[in-house]
Amino acid sequence: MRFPINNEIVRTGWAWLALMLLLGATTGLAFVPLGRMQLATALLVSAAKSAIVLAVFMRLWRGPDLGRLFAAVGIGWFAIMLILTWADYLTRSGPPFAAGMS
Amino acid sequence: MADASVTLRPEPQFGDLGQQRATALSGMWLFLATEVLFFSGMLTAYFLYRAANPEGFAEAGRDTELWIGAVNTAVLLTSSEFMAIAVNRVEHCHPRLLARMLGATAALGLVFMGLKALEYWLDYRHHLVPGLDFVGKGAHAHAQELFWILYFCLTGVHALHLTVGITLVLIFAVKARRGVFSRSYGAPIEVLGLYWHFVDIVWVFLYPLIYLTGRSS
Repeated sequence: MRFPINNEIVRTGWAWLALMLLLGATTGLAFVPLGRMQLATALLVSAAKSAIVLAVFMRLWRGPDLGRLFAAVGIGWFAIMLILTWADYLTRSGPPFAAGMS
Repeated sequence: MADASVTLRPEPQFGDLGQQRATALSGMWLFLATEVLFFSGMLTAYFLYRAANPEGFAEAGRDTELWIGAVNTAVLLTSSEFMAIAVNRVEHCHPRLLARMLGATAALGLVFMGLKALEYWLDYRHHLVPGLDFVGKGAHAHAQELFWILYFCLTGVHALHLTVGITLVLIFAVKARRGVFSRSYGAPIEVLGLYWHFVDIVWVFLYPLIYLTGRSS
């Protein structure tokens, strides 16, 4: 059976190629001594990969408005959890930052 | 194959199939938002303990099987490509191609699970399973064990999600071959695709947190 190609399939093909290149980039960068920026760089590349998946594969911008709202809510909830948890742990000396943890 | 739109009717609570599709997609996005919360608890714990024990986490990260993590990331991203094509196929009424794309998606999911099983076996052989036969090294043995606890929790829950996804994709592939889905009734494939891509995104973040930690030091 002939495989019908259309613009969207071409677009997903380019997205896949970009994802593979980003996978190679993040793996290579892991061996470069970036110090404290190591984790931030890796997460930035992961965010870029996720943005491609969300935009091209999950078609976030072409779906229903409620879908975009719920996607934003999910990220917002995660941000609230991280901010409040860090605000707590960074302002006291209890576990897991207590001396002798390691 | 004839488009089933001639006989298809929306469920009684919907005005038309378009409204039914939009509701189904929105429902899946809401479910995925709760899934973000589900994973975010473990990820927050990971970030906290990593910040508190950077040396121990770096040492433990170097003991992970990098090649399996990298290959599995490529496998999962490629499976997402096939799933995206499957959604495109259902919109253009190619039921046989749709079934093949779903079959390829499930096959790559099974490859991922096979490699994951091999990785767990290697971890066991290397005495890296907490509570079973864990053997830490040096002064940061306790922090290394924390890393491996989080590793098994995060990858285990992810594998559980993928198992559910593979099962659903296989069921939908059989249905697609029978011609159940059409241009008018393609929402189930779209909804399943959203779930599959979300599981992919979770892994995209797990990959650097687990396999790339401590590689440069």
